[in-house]
Amino acid sequence: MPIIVNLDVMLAKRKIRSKELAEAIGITEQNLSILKTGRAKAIRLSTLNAICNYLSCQPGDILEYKNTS
Amino acid sequence: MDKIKRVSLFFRIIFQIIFVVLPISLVITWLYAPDDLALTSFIKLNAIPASYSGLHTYTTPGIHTYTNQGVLKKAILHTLSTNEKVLGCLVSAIPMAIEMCILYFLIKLFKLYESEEIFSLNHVRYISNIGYALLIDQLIEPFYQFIMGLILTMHNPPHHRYAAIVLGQTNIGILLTALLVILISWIMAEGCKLREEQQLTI
Repeated sequence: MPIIVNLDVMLAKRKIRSKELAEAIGITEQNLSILKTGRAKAIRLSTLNAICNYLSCQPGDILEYKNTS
Repeated sequence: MDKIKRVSLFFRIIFQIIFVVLPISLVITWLYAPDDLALTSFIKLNAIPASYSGLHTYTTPGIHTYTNQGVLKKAILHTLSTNEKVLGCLVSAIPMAIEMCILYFLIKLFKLYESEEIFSLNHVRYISNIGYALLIDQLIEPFYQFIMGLILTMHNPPHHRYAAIVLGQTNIGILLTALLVILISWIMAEGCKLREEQQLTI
């Protein structure tokens, strides 16, 4: 899929651990891992809102479109 | 959940016993049973045309069979030779192989229920396979009856041999059931995809 999730990059920039983020936004570590590894099929706006709010970033910092064709 | 596991275990054991007993009983019945009703009940020769209804007047030892009206008649008017028995056994093995496939898929299905896997693509695959196996079983059934009739009455006196392709009400009923099972498996497959999408929505 040409949509790349840069969540791990943002977590490294903010020096926040996955576990902390998962607890803060109210999802399981397992689900956060699905999101980080790009296996997720969809992301809820509420989840995106919570992530952006906690990491103080924009949705574009987390999601990136790369044309593979 | 415990109830499902217990019931699944019970059914799996029953299916496994049938899975083992069925082929053994087929061989034993064909090769060792005397020419009596035991064999007749096993080979499902129920499609004797009404024109053969006078066959019971013969006193030659042979296999009894039921006509569509449920009346006991003699259809095989000679003692079966070993060759005929072996041939009959081999032909009987064809529908039995399909029935064993169905049993195998049922065992696998109930094993999944036992491992608390209730709704997945594996289930759909097994249910779909059961549907297709049932469909094939019913499609070959008339031809099986035809070949079996041919083998068993081949050495009857002239005018008392029969071979008929008959599609009965039961066949059509099971055929429709098989199609329904296949349709349900398609719907379940769509349900599984939706569930997977739901699971991967964060």
